[in-house]
Amino acid sequence: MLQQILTGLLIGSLYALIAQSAVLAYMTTRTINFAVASVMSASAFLALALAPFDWLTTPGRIAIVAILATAFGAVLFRVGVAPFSGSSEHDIRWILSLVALGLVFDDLILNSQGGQVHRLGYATIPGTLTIGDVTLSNQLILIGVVSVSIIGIIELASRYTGIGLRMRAVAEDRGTAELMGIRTNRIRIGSYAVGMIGVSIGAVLWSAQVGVSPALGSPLLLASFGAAIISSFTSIGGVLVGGAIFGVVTQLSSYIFGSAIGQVSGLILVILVLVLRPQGIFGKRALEKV
Amino acid sequence: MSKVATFNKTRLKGFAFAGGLTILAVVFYLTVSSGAGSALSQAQLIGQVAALTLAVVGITFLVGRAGMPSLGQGAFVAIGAYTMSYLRMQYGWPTWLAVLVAVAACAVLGGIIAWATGRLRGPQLVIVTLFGATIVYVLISQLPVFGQFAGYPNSEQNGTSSLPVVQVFGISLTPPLSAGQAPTLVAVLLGVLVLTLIGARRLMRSKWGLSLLTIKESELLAAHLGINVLWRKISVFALASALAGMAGVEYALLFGHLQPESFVFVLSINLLVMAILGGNGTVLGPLVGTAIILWLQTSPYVTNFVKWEQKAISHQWYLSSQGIIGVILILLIIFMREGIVGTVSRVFANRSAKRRGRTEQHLPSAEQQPAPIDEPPYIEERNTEERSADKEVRAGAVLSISGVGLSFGGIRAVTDVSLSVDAGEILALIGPNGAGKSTVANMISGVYTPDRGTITLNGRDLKSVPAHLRRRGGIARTFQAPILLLDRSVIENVLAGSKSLGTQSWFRGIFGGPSAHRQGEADLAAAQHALERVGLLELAELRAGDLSYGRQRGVELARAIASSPEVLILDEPAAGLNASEAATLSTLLLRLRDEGLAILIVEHDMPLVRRTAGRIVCLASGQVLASGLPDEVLSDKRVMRAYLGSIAAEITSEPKSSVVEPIA
Repeated sequence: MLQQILTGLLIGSLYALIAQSAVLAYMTTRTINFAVASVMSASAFLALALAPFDWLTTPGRIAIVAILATAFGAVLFRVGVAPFSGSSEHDIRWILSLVALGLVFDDLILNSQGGQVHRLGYATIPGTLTIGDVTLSNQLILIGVVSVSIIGIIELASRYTGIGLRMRAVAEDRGTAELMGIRTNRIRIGSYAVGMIGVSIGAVLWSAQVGVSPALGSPLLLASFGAAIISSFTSIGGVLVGGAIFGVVTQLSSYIFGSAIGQVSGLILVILVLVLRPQGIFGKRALEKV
Repeated sequence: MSKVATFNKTRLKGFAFAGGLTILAVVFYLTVSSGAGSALSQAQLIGQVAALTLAVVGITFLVGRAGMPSLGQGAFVAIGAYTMSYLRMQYGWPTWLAVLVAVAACAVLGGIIAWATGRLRGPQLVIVTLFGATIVYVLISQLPVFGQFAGYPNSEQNGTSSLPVVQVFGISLTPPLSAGQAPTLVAVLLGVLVLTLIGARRLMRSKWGLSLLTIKESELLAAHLGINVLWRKISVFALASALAGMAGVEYALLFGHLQPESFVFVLSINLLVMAILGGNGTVLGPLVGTAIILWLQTSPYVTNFVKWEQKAISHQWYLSSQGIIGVILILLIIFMREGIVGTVSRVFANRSAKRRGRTEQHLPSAEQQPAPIDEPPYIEERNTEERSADKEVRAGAVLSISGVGLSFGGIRAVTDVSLSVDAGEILALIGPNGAGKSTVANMISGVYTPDRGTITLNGRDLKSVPAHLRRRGGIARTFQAPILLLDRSVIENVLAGSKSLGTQSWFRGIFGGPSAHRQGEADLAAAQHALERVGLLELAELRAGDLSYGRQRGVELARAIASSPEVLILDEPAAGLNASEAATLSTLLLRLRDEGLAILIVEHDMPLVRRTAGRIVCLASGQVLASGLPDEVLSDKRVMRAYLGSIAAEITSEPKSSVVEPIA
């Protein structure tokens, strides 16, 4: 049981690492990146393509992947979101365009790389750590440490740096921020881009554990949305809590009821949260103005 | 235009639509009726189009009309297909009962989702449907009862890999699976398709269909037009889900076997693409979109295109069928948001509008338009008669509010307001910005529930009465910024003011007979009359979004009076009007007053207030500052101070004083 809980917490931190990108993007753009699964599989395959170049070293490869993923995020916003998100909340063209872009990328990746699973071969700490009855893979522990660090850095940056302040200003009220001389479009593109750092690093570390394949992203996409919904789409650090809850619930119910129910339980939990407390654990209830 | 002529024309169009579709269905069936092996794949294609079009019709109501985005339509197709098959295989239920239960199950589930997510908007609803669809997929692909990836039914568990052929009155409905037999099932599916499209057309043209558009535009507006928004969202979601369930049932009958891969998440996306390609929210769009996408998926052109890509571009980096659908979706969003049917009908509508010369430029400008005094006398007579008959009953305060207060968080918007409006009276609510005028109007119409105090309509406490029932009870209003269906015609906008908008059921929308027709005619006459009174009848066929701001206000006013309300609340009706439009407005208001309406206007335009109001209530900081006859209130020093600031008040009353008081 303790084994399941700890594993759930570590996997939950991976979900949180993806979820921080959704929260960052939502805060400044009121949109969610439905194509994030494609960014993840693209990052994993990019890391795979860099595998033969040993002189790059592992941090060097991850840095390249992260930089390119950042550019990918910026392009997704510029091409897929910015032209299609009006002021109305009924305007859902951006969802369709992101989903469509996702279809195109997934198709390209599938056609060019094939559906099989490849071994990444680096960015991994082999072995396990055993404390008492609990055995955890070192890679998962690494993922947990990296996730918490990245989310922590972004949370702190959003509080204590100038860019972070501007970002929060845009999140609060885009129009006013614009009048205050903040280049809101840069902030919006930036928040899509910066979120991809964590997404790509998470994808590389995870694929080092489970293998590189086009199907890498979609389960993580749903789990990360789940994490963000449970905690709140307006709190960056909060996703660690949301991810932990989602991870532990999924792991525990898989352990007790089997894999099908396990997969479903997290999703049902998220739907319940949306129905009962749409703003999430840390969210404030929005007042509607007529 | 005479009523008889329009009536016959609409009926004729209906018959033409039904006849045309039937002929089309028969022709398509005849091409495959031989059951020859060469026609099998075409028969399957036709059957699939007939089946999936139903699911897309559901999307067109749910997403296109009501604006409720869903990525879960494919999941309901799966639920319908698996439920029907399971009930037949496992319990041996007769097919008709299994079909009925499967479709009903989808409807109930859809209704529950709509009820539970009633508070959610846009992206959140999308996520719920996405998660729901994933849950369904996990269950059908992983639960052992459904055979996992062996599909359902499968020979290992069920002894056969195909559902038994359906028998109806001794005739077997043969699916197009083996050569040499007439694919009679396809004929039945085509029949269902024709009936569904006829029903969809009737429903879209009904008040029920129109009400969905108002929900998409603004739920606030919809509630103020008498619609129970949550309930209507539940019914449209249930309808869409039932249609998807029926599509699944037909799909299962068509292929006799279900594989979980057929119902992956991409199915929902593809159904959406079909809806958007055909024209989301149009009648024929679903058929056109579904036919094109399914045909593309099976046609050799896509295979040839992929081959060409591989040769010309890259062996590795090419797009296959699903990627091409992604590209189509992107292109549609950018270049053709109205889809094929929507674009074509827009072009035709523009042409016929040009032919008739009905653009706003061609019309006499507001100044030259006949004043509403020139209304046909018969209408005037009828109305005064009606009104005077029940004027007795209405005498006295129709609307009264006493001691009402409301806070938002810690801010007190309204602290203590009491006022009443009598039948045949115009009460003006004035006061500086932020005084709480609009909040009072919003509490009366049911946007907000006051924290304290009571609001009564004809003596009835409105405390727990929601906005839509207040509208049905006779309170109509306009908004500070007009909320119109900008893409629809002016007359449709005014028709949205009909009482039947909120009360008509979808059943009556589809199956309504002569009485529903008469109701529709009466609503149309009332809408035309209302438009005539605001002087905009000439513009009835124009797109509301093409009108000037002042005229849009006129349309909104016409919508408010179309249902002959008892109380009319106008939130700054003169804002944005030019002088002559304002004059027309005040004439109309006085006329409405004389007919016995109780009118409350929230207004800054003092000339209008002076010309129309019988009494004035001035608010400041959420309290009544002064109330009484216009001259008294407007010359009240406190009112002047509140309105113009202390200096102005001092200057007007005591020109020599130089003391500057702080603004209250």
